Amino acid sequence: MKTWIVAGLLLFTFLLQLSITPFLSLGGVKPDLVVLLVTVLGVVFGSSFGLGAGIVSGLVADIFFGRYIGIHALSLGILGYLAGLAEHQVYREQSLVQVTTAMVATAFHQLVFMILLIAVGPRLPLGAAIGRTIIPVALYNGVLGPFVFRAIFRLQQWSQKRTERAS
Amino acid sequence: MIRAKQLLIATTAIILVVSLMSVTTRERGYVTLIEEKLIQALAPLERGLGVIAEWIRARIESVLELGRLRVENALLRDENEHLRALLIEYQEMKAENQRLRELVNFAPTRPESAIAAQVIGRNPDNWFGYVEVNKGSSHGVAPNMAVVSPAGLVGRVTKVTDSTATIMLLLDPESGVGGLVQRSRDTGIVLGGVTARGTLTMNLFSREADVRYGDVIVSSGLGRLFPPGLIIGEVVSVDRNRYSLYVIAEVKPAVNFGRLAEVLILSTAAELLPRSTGSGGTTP
Repeated sequence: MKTWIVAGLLLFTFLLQLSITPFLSLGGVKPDLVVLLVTVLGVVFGSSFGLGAGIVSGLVADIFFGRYIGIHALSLGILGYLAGLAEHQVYREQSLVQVTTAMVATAFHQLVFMILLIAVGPRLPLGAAIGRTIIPVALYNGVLGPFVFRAIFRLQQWSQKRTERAS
Repeated sequence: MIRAKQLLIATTAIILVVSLMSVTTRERGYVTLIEEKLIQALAPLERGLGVIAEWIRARIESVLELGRLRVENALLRDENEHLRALLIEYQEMKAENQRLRELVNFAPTRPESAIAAQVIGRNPDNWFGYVEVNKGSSHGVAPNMAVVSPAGLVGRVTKVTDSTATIMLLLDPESGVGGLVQRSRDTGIVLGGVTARGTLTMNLFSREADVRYGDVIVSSGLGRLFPPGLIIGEVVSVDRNRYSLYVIAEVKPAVNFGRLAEVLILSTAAELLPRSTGSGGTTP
């Protein structure tokens, strides 16, 4: 897939995350669309792609709102890289695999983010952080996972057809 | 060979990012040129999407709430009558207060200059508590200014560009405000924490502090960052652990941060402070 399509997709998702997801919040928790997108990009296109997508989208998030520049970039970069290791290991077309991948990846990312946050800054009550943030976000993202997987597959098909027509 | 190259790129990227994180651990009141340009470039897009999201939410809510509105309307009429009476009483007291102030030559404690701003974005994750507003340094906004809404205290300005400002909400894990129990006048510090939980923690300085369910917590004005008397929230539970140095109260904020659309930025409180902020946490 062309770099400009991915860049546009990341920007669009980031803007959706800033403006739309606060209205989708359930019990104070909103889905994390950027985490979902980076996971799916890693699983579909591999580790290098996942790492790049994670660091770039994370840096944008950090510059825009982050208290510590790099915390989103590092956590999303690690996520994208590790998601890419599963590129040829999972049956990514199956809904159950998509739900599980989205849930596990989100829980992992949130855990890494929490550890980094505690390492550089404030003290957080661990029980509340896991029970009120990590688990609910993972479940929420799990539900949305298949939609993002399918959207990326379609975009990939559209991009391939476009390239074939051009050549 | 390719694997080794990938590993080298990944390691370099991680080292760079960790270095950036360590450099920015201390709170900054300023933004770099890259940050300023990026924020300003994305602000109009973000504002547009925010308007669409708000419109969709309002349509869905208005359909869902029609049945409840009639009952609520009757209750509000009664409440309105009661509030009118209170307003008259308040105006009388305000006039009397003004006369007394003049008499003893007091400076006003409540700042008069306020900048109205619209919320145009929120932080993307579930951990921090930040919102972005459409007013910046060109409108007179500066770091450390206190931010309020009609419901109560919202937080403070942390980052300013020419046309936007970032506000740290009371819910943010790094937020801290000097607070007092309105009924008993016991003081403490009101801290943020896990943003998704939606409540604040108040550590009361005295182990004998008189605080109970339903008590209203207001800003104490200690530390001079926030003006005194602004409503922070209401106590929903109290923990008196005999091994703890503090009495700990859980406080439900008066402001519904999920629905925050407009805020007032108070300029006077920040002018009392030096502009540079060196510490990592929030001064109460």
